[in-house]
Amino acid sequence: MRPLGIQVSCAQQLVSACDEVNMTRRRLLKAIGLTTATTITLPLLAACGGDSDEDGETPASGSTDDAPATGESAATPGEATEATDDDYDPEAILIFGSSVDIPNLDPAVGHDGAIAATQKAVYDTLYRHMGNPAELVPWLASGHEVTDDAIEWTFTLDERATFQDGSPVTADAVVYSLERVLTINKGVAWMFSGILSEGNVEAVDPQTVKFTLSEPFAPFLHATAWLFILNQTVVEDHAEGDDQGQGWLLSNAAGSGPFKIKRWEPGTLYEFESDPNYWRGWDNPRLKGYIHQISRESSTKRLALEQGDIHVGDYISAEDITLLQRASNIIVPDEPSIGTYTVKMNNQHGPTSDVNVRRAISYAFDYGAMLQVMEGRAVRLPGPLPPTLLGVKEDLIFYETDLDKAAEELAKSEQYKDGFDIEFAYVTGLEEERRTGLILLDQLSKLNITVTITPMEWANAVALFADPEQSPDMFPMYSSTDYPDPDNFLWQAFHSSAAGTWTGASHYSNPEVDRLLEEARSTSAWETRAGLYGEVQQIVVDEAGDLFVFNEVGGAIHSDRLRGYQYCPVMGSASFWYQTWLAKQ
Amino acid sequence: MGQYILRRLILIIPTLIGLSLLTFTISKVVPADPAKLAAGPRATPDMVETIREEYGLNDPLYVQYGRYVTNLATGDWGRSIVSRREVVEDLKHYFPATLELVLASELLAILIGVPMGIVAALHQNRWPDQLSRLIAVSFVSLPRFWFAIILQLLVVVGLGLLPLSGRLPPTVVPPDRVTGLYTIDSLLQMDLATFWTALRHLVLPAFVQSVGAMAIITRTVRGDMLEALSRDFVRTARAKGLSERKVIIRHALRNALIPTTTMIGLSFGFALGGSVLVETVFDWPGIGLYAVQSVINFDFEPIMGVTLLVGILFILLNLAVDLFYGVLDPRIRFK
Repeated sequence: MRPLGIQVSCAQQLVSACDEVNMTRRRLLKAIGLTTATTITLPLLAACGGDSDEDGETPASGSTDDAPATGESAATPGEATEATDDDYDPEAILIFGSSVDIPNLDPAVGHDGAIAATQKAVYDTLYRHMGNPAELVPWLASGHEVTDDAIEWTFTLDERATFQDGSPVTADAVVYSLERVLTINKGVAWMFSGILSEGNVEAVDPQTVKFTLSEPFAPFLHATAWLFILNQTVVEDHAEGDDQGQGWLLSNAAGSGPFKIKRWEPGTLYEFESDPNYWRGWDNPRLKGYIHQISRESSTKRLALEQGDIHVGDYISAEDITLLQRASNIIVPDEPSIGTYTVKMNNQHGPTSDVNVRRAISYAFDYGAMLQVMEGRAVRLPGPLPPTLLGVKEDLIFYETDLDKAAEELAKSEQYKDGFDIEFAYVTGLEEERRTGLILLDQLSKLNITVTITPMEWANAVALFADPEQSPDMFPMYSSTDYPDPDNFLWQAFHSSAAGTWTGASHYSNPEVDRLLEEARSTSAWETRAGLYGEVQQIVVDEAGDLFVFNEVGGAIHSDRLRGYQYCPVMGSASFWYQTWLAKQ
Repeated sequence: MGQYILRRLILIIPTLIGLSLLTFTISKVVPADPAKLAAGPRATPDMVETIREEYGLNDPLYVQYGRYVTNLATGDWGRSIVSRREVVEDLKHYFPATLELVLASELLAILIGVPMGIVAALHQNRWPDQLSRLIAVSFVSLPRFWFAIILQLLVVVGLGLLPLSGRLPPTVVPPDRVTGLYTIDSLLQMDLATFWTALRHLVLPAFVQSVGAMAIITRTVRGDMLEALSRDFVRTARAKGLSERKVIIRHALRNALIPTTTMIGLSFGFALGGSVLVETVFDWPGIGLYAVQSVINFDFEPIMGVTLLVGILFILLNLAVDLFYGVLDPRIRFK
């Protein structure tokens, strides 16, 4: 193992930021450290060990009324600055070719990348994740206060905020929206159900709402970015029986967001038009609208991008990305993301329940070969946290490919030192996962370990994860990126309560890690939390809880006509088109 | 004949019961948990339980099956556990896209395959026959997925003749729904611009979809034509002094078409189940992709819905083919 150096230096970040074609003024300010966000932020300079106005308290204890730029600079409705770019095409509609459908838009039910992106377009939240590194920006809230024990969170609503029907967004709407999430008990309910119950949210006055948590939860401000605020009157007008509007909201919206639904053709396309009267106004030239077009085949999306049929594409294969990088009209961002790819190793059953075996596998894996498979779209993941996340342990001791050390570790195992058979299961059709298996097969054969590679339907795998006796020995997996906080990555994978969920497919269990994670959740002082998370990272790496493989490079691949694009690595935020516009052809 | 049709239609019911029972059983013995899948990666056990209760997944299997069949009898095909949408609404949405694609592809297969088979038979073992054999063998053995991408590169990117994908450009609003087939609906509304656009979008996927059936039809027509041309009634027709055209079309082809009709019916039925590869490459929102997504999500009621719909259509197609035999050969009687 070797100590982890800082993955991306400040200077490199700054240079790469300045080189970006689409860099905005705000982005530049952020890059050179002039932005002084006082909310819970993940500033670049902090990640690099530089100075910032952060006092180490996360979330900030006290008011955040002096909001960052996005909060203050929002134009008022009707005063949108729509003509700052000579090339601006006010009639252009952005076409987003996406592999992912939007089966259910209801904020209390649907929760995945494409759904989240759409929810963020038609609804607003108290705070919103923006930029990269992701910052929490006050949105419907103009600020918040929190008690020192991180129990009472009081938010002041922006007085300008109105729903799309013109009625004001009030504290009652926030209370209604949260209680609806809790009673329906689907979607993002897991974020709130353990810390809030009905009656714990109170409308102090029409502009003030107070959440009283049942236990301290330091990342709560992040959770507010997932509480989409609904217009209660509109929902109740469309409710059938006791469904709380679920039937209607799956393809309609009752929000206050910058976009309105125009067309809803399931499995084909979803069209949205921008609201010229959006209560925050439009900082940039206003996109007329956008279309989320379902396009599942990577090569089709590549050709469509090159032809100009679509302006943005997602889930494009590494091979097609390589080809697109040669196209003069296409921009392929390579921003650091917070998406991690690990191989879950069953910590409770089979050969991988032996820590020496897991360490041997971690030493034996050829990380360089895997990065070659990803063709430059990934960087090495040393531990459980993405390298650019605030809170990553900078002096983490981690594994590098070393077959001699792998053999040494394996020799420590009484039961498995002479070799064994092991299963690597992966999702049918996912090529990089299959190749991960091939790398393991090749490397582990040198230790007399025979790997069987088994393609498996995802539905079957999820069912198997529930039981450690049946869970595969090894299974590759991408993490979910709900919020950019160490808690998101560490709790979902290594707290014993997560065992059996698909993010906890390793069935890792260590009372000390549980204790550290729980303590980190219940303290608001960031430096204390960071120390606790550092301890957790080293423990799970020492115990090789998972095989930590790579961290994806992110950013939507797009046409050079798209302007104002800001990548945000939080789930659903990479395709939030509020700040973008299209240039003329 | 009326009684024959009625009897065949009544036979649909036990067939569907058998089909539904089989699909239901298979889907329940597979080790998957649709509620856990629908609840998401970080769902608490309580959230998973909420979904199980809502969809009755905790009930004994016979209760679940009984409820499904009872609802089916009242026209309720159930709801997707992922989207909560009514399966019937989804089928109404996705099936017309597949039907339009299949109709166009079968039409192409017949219009090209039958003449090619006739020409091959009339020029047995000469270059037209060899050429048609080459085309047929190539078409039936080409990987559909690869062929689609190559055609996109040649016809769309290279020549710029046709659009790349989709049923219409994303910014074009589809015609008001009558049949759900964009070409037909736009014609009904005399919207020729949309008709032309929809037709251009249809050509490439329909051609790719058609090549397998086209190859089989070509070879079947060739073989049956060769057999018919050697029969006594053809010799008699020629002896009577009928023109060669009449001999071929009215006598030989008519007899040769009976096995070809069976092949067309079968390929039509298979195609209605959706062609996932063609739908994927051409972004064609058909029932095949819907079925595959449902299987991936282990979304039980959509899987059942697609299975039953395709089953019904297959039975009806078989009946139609059987009845068409009588048109081709009046000696065939239905009892």
